[in-house]
Amino acid sequence: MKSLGNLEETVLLLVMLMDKPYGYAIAEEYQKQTNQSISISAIHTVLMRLEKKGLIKSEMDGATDERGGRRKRICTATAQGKALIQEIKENRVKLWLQIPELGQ
Amino acid sequence: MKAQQNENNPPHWMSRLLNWFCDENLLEAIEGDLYEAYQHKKAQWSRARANRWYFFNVLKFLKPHFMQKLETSNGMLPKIINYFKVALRNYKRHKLVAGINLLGLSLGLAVLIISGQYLWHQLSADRYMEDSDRIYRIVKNYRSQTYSNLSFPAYFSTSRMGQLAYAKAFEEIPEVEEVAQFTISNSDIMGRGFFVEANDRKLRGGPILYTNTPEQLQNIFQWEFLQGQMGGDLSEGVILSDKMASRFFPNEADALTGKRFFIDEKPFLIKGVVKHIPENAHFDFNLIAVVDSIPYTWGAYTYTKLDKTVSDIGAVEDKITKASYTVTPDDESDPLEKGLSLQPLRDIHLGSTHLYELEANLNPIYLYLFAAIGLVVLIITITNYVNLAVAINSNRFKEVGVRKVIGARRRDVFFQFIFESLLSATIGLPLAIGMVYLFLPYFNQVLEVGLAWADFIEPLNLLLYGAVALGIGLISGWYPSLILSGKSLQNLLNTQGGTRTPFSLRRLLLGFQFFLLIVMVGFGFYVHQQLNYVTNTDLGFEKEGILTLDIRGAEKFQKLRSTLLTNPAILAVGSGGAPGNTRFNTVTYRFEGIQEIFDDANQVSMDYASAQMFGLESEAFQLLDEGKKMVFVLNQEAGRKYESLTGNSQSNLIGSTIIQEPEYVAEDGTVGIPTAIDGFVQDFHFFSKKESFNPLFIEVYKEIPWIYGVNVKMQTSNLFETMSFIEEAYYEVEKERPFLSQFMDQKLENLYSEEYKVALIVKSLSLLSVLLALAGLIGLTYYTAMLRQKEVAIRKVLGAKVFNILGLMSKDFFLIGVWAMVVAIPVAIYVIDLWLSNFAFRINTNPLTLVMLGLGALLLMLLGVIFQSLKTTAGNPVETLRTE
Repeated sequence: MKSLGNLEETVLLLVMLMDKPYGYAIAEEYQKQTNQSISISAIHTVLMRLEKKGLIKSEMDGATDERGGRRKRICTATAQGKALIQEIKENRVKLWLQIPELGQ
Repeated sequence: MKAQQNENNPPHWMSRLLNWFCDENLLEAIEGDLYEAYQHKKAQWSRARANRWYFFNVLKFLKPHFMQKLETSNGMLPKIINYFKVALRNYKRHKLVAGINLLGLSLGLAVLIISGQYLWHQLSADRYMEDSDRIYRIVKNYRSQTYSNLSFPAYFSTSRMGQLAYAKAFEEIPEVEEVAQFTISNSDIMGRGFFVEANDRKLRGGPILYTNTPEQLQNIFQWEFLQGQMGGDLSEGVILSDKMASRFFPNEADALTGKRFFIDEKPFLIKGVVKHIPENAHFDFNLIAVVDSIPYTWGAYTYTKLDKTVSDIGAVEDKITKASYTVTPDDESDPLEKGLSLQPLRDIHLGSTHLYELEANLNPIYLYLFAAIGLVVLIITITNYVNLAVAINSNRFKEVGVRKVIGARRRDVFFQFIFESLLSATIGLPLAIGMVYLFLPYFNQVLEVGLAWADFIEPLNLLLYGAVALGIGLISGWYPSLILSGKSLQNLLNTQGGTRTPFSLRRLLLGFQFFLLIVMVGFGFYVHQQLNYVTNTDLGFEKEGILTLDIRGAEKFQKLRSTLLTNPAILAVGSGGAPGNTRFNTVTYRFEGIQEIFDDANQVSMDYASAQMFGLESEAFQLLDEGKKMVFVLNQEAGRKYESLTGNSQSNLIGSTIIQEPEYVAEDGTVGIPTAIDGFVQDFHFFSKKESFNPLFIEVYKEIPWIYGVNVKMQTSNLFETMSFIEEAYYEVEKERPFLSQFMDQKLENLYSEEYKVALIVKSLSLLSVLLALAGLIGLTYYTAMLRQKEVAIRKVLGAKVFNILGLMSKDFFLIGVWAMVVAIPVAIYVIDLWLSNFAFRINTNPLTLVMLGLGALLLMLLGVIFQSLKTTAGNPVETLRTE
């Protein structure tokens, strides 16, 4: 199993839940969901790492005026990425279930 | 359209920064994201804040994984390693020239560092306390002069309330926060030496600061106390500087408060120990005596700290002046009173020249001069480097050619050579700092300053030196790099090497260097001559073998005189004022029969023995021989003044009177102090030659009733024996005050102490620049000779004599030198005259002398060139021609 950092996991989840996610949009969404701010450079760093691990893939698309005519790097989770996130969740749940006070 | 676009876009240079470092593959998405975010931020915040946000977020992308462009496409590291290797090989191959170059660079840097620190040291004087911008010295304008001190309301008042009267009145003014006054023992207004005694040691007490307002003084100057404190109670006491404390109490310096300390045999208790104040302050002391009232003085230096809110200094000056009139109401109607002014504390050290300054302050002209000289040395350093670098690298054309064939771009080659000069600068800097360490003690001694080594190696300063060194490396590497990188391939690989252009920048630089050299040497020469002139020739009086010393009281003087005259080596003993003075207060006067009142005269008194000793001549002195007790003589300048006023001959003055201080009317109706004129004496330089003659009124007594100075004329052989005899004789009559003496020679030199310092600096730096230039030239010759080796060999084969060859080699330099001289001489004359205009009496500049000096310097250079050419081109021409 590939190791995945906390931030990487969150960003991967964001990629999966968002429609046509890209750097800035992910940063905004991250802030909205977690109430923590994050810099664009940090998001790009994480995306690069995820892509290197083969968990997401990206393509250039969607130039808008708002971006001064530049394209976005739009990410989608790969099958491998989806499998990994599933696996992580199952592992977690397995642990959770063994702790009675956390309950259901 | 464009304006609108500008408004929407983040600043152009920030985007360029991103474009410069960011990986091309990642750039578009990153830039797009940042742009989008920027638009959002701008909608929420101000443009400036959005710009700031954008800038910091661009910087956040400065991480290796976004910057692959630099890493892979340029391959920086291996390249730099290669440059480094090549540079080292090159240094090895040209040990001599590379060494000269490095040495020159380090020397230049060292000079720059020291002069920079010196300038900073002087410019930051008297800023060691908080609020130094709110502190002022109260100065008094009286007649046409300004006094740096305030006299007490009743001059020699010793009552505490009397001395404090002005200070109390000033404190009433709402804008005034504090007023403090003090006098220092070696100032002109106290002028005494004291013995101090403690812990069974009796020493001469260095400058003692006497104050009757300790707490206010401390509030203004905020000296750092190591033990005890200034105020606390109102009792008298002394405070030692830390240096003084360790001198008197080497073993118990950390618990001194409460111990006994004697000044002038008067007991005090030690109140505390204070850290010695910074050397660049405008006064200095070893001891503070906190006293009820200040002894032996007619006034005090008065300082005030104003409230933060004060902006109109003029208004406060008016209030202070008014306040002083409440103490001395007569002053208000006195036409000679010109009121009080406030002099900013920070301005005092830089050239304040009021009467009775606490120390001779530094004329800012000398700071400018210092900066200029530092700059000249810097320029010489850089030109030297450029010349040598071009020369050394001129046989690296092939290397550059090969690099270019392999694929080096122009900027790669440019960068390589810039790298080499930066490398030199980096090696040169530690060398330079080492030199600073070696020179610093001499520098401090010569300029009488206290630059601390610790200040030089402060991290921030080191950083600054690093930046300066790299800057110099960059500037001096620019031109050689530009030349080498700019040559076309064909040109480079052509075995002929480069083409020779008749008017290259290199020649221009060489000429410029000569130019600076001649100006420096000429200036140094004239400074030397002028100083010799002001202290040795045309003084108007005799100074050989005359010693001046202090003693007070006629009885003591007479006893001392009779002892001294028993020694056959002592030729005469007199008393009274001696020439070589700094300015003191003038008197008002008018000539009999002329209503106009002047205030440009100084009054001097001396006894007949002194007048003879100084070689003053007057027919009136006969009257003294005939039994008159005192004659009143004027100098010729006073006579000339009378002549220009009346058109009458000055001899008409003899027998008439001069009324001194005509503004005072005595109770019996006499106006001023009328004195009958007995005759004239020649003009002589009573003050320094920086000042023109002014009228002198000289009272020559057979026997002066009051004594403050003694003049002793002695034979100059066996000086030491005679001196110790005088000292012994002195202590026989005066036990309380230390023996202070000065030969007239020293006294005159002290008048020009600033000028002497400048002279030494200019002389040593011109020597340094001559050496630098010479070294540079020898290096340069070496290379031109090498380049022309083949030419020379062919000429030799064809029958040229060594002499012709040398002519050929040096013609170039000689021509450049002559041109430089033609330009330099008028400039040198201008600069020298500018400096000489500080003196009312000065020597004349002579272009011919400068030509001779210039030729001398050129000849020296030429000798270097000839010597080096001889070495390089001597030998069998076959050797040279055979190599290919």
